Amino acid sequence: MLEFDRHKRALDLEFRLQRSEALHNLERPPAERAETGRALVDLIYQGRDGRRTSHHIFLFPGQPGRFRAGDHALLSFAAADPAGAAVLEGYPVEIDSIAGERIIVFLRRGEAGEELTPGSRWILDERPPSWQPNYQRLSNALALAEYSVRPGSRLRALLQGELPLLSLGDPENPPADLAGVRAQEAFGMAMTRPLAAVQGPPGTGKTYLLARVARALLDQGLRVVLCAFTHRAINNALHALVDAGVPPAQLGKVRGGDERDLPPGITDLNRRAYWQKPPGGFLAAMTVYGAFEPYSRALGISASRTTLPYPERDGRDEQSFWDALDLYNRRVVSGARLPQPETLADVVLLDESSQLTIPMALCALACAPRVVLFGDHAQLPPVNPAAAHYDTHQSIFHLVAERYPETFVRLNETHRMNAELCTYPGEAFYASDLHPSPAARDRTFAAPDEVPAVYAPILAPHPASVLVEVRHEGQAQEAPLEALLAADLALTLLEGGLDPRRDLAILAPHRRQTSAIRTAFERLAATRGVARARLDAWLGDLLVDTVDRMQGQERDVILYSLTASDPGTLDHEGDFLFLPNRFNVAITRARRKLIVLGSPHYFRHVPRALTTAGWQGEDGALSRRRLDAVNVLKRWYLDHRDRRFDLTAHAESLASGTAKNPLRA
Amino acid sequence: MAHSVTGLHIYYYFGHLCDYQAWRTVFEKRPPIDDPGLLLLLEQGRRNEAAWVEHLREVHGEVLSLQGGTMEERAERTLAAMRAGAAVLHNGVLDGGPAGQTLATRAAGRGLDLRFRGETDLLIRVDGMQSAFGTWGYRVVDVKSSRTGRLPQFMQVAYYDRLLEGVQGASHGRGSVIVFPDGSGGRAQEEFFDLEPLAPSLTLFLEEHLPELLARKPEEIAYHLAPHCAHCLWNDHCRTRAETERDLSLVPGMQPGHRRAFRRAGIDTLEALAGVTEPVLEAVAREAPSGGDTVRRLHAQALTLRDGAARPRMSLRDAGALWLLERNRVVREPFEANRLAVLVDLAGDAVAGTESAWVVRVGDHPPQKFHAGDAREEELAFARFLDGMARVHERTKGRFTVFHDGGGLDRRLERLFEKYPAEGRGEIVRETIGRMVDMAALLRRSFLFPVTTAAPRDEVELYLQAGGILPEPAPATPLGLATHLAETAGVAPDEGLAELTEAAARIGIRPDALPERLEPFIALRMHAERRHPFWMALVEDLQIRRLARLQTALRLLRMAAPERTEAAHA
Repeated sequence: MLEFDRHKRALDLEFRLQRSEALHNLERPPAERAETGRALVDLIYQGRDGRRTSHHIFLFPGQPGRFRAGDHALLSFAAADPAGAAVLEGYPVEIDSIAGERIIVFLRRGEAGEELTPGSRWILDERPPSWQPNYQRLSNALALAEYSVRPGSRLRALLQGELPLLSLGDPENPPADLAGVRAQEAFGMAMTRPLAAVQGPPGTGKTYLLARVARALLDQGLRVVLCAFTHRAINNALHALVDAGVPPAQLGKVRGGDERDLPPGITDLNRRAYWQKPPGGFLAAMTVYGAFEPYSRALGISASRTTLPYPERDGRDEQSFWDALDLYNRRVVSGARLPQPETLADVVLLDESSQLTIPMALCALACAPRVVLFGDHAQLPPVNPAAAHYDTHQSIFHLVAERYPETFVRLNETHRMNAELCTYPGEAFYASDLHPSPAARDRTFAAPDEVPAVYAPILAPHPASVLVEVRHEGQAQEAPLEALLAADLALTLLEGGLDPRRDLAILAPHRRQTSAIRTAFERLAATRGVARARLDAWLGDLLVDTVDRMQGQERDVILYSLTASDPGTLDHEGDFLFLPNRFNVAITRARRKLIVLGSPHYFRHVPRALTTAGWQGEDGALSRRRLDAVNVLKRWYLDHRDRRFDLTAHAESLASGTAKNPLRA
Repeated sequence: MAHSVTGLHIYYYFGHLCDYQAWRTVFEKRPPIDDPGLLLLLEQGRRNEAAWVEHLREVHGEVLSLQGGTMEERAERTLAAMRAGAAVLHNGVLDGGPAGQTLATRAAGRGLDLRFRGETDLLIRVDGMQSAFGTWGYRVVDVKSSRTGRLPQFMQVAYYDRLLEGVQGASHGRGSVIVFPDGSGGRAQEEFFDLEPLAPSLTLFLEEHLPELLARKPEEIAYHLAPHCAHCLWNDHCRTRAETERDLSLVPGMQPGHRRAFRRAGIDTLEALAGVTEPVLEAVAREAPSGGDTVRRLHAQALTLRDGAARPRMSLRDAGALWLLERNRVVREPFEANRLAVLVDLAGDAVAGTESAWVVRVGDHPPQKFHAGDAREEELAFARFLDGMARVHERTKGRFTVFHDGGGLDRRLERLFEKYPAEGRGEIVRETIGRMVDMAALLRRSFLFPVTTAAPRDEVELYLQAGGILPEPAPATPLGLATHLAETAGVAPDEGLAELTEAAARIGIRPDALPERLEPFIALRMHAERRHPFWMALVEDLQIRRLARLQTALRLLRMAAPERTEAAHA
């Protein structure tokens, strides 16, 4: 199948899969939805959150399920046991915070507030993806790249590895505040090539470099567009730009998401207005969809003029639908007055581009003749549920890194991990081309003065990376003993004075385990007499989340709960649980101390898919990829054989409530 | 007394052994093999190996055989031959050298006296390789009877290589297995693979898991009765233990994860599970690997087992179900009404590597077949097959179930679709695959004798009719059922079954184990050897009789309960 056909079909399937799965879930009764963590039932309305009149507080019994701050959800009356369409007619809300059994939501529609009376009961459901506009943009981006003369020809050449990489001028001297040979090399590449890719392994200052590149481009009076996968990443980059001395007046952002973290003084951009006359010497930050606005508009106008209706899917066979869509797209693209990239922006900086699918990246790549990609394909890949069907796993960053080795630079000095923490990921994921900076190399963890004897060797400065074995079996997405131990370790560290926001994070592959850890944490804290206010503050600040949510962040101490020990689960979820990228992200968040908790069964397991699969042809390639993936964990385990501590008995004593706290004895 | 860990242990472990089997195979002499299927497999393995040795003899001029004598003597002779630079060594023995010593020392730390050694199929000299012998060394080759290489085979070679590395001080880095892509006895092919990626799994097994496992007492090793336990040589041990302890795995459908979840809640026995209260059940449901539905079903199962009532969803291969059968419990599978049953089968031509597909619709409609006469017609047949499925989908408005007879048919269909990606037909393929039901597995669950797939159409009909008419209580064995049905209907039992029963008695196999034991023969029927005329005659007989047996059973069922048969049809 042609390159574009694969992506079109994958996009189509992804949308249909996600939406049908979410809608199907909503058809189930509330109790069942709650059981799978996809709904919170028995929410009791408490009132508004002080002066924040659009923020409303609810209490709920039990665990927060899959919900987290920042999630979009639907709020509906509990009285009628809503399901299906009744839920879809509920109020769209955004979760502001969840701590303990208290949730604060942001209700976008003011008028809905009238129905919120204290004591009334509500249900909160996951909101099915209604990203028709985004889907339409991605579909349009593919059509643009496939059929247009400009910018299509350039985009097609880029994807095929045939983009000429002529030098745009003499290299500029790297800025004085940019140290490191690789960083300077990457800077030179970004400033002189129409296409450059900078791989930023964990803590290597990728965002710092991005800010220096952006500053230099702005100094040249250029129009710069900054895009990333998430608003959080965009905001981080804007902070880095301000820190690099770029005046906020030269920065703007098309708003979206949680903007509390945005640096002050940044211009609030209206997407449509900005693109009508982009100013020089100005950086506009936005999502990839924002960057596609000029083309969306042009194609939209063209579509409204065409006599050909958008093809309906219903009542057609698949091929006829795709044929009709192709015809429609050709006509819309050829009839559109497309803006030329040169008139829109001079350079696009694409951060986190290893998490961007090809269609997503095309949205941004179309808006400027030059592009600098920042990413790390050894970290998490794009989320793409249809990838397996159409082999569309590869991110734009991975593609460019593979097809343009001459413009690819890997930053190799990490300012995050100390020497020991850096060793394994360096060897396993970065071809031994990663080393700690002098400032990070000898960084060690100083444990609180008094810790229980059982934790003393684990929290000692050396070894910095340890394995805590908990010998459980048959656990799937939740391992109670492990959760208890992780919670107890965290509590010990926080009681010892660690800052819950800055110093510590707890990670797990699944939300169920992070929920279990939070519950265990609350329970243990209660038995130790921790004041409720203090506990709420800890729970509000402490990051207990999945690995995927932690990418891009760091803490002094990371607790990573591997969780699974059930052979069936390890077989069934093998491609997720043994994904080397996820393990890489998990073990490279720590500055001083990494504590991995897991059952030996996780490490010893050989997935059944490997023992039964063929090893020739395509099957063989898949088997070898799977074997390489499980070997990442196995090698890490073998590497840590002299750094492992069996705390099964202690975890069991915690479970039975017999564990003694020597500090309180 | 020292116990040996051999390449065969490694092969079996990575292939299919549970912890208890792994323990027994190291510590106990294996009972003599009486399974005709295994005997035939072994014989074919020997022939394949001999054929490849003959081939090597033609290529290298000489193959040194190291058979005969004790293992220690053979190890010494192997070492001497390698030092002397023999080109090919057949059946050389590696006693592990320093690598084996390291492992043995580690095991000794746990109070174990283990030897690590292996009897290789072939050691091939590699010139230009630096080793303890000089500028030559050896690499390991193992001859297998399979069509393609598998990980357990690679692990076995990796184990030999580790022992060899201890002897010659270096590893070649690559190993190979000889496989037979066209089936055993056909064209041979050498499949190479890198050994380094296999090292972590092997090390974890040899240095971590195995010593830990072997240091345990047998009664400390966890067991769990599962469907495949019915084939195990030591099934009696676990079943006896389970019955004595009233273990939870006696409940059909109980997965290890469920059992652990129940145990964590203090529920250790079948009776305890039956008597569990709702709050406890809810707590277990939250913790169990699969959802609350499964936990509740297992509870209901336990409840009725305790009370002696019937429960559905059991398989003859399920050790728990066998236990039930012996106590005259009834097995029944619930049926889904008002759906058109569609049979899909895919016939393959292993030599040409092509497949032809057809659809058979059950009911009043005549079967439709879309058959490729030769390889060139494969694409056309596949396209017609998809047309057929599209029509079924359209006419039934999606109310149909696709039955198939296993054999990875879903994967094969997907492969065909990748090969001939007919535009617009992906949805049909996905729909078809999404609705597939493994008929053989269903039949095994719903019938008291393991029906196989000689005549799939009849089996589907049988399955659909059997819904409400299985007798209660059921006889304890498959043959018992046939006899019971025959008696009920007043007709003579099927002749084929009688013959098989006599044959089984002659060779000392329990009659109820006969169909299971004979299964390998069915797979191997294309490779009948003169050496085993009796066995192969039996296989032929079984094949021929199977259809007759099915038809007889169907007739018997109709006679036994005509009204209910009609009702099931309606």
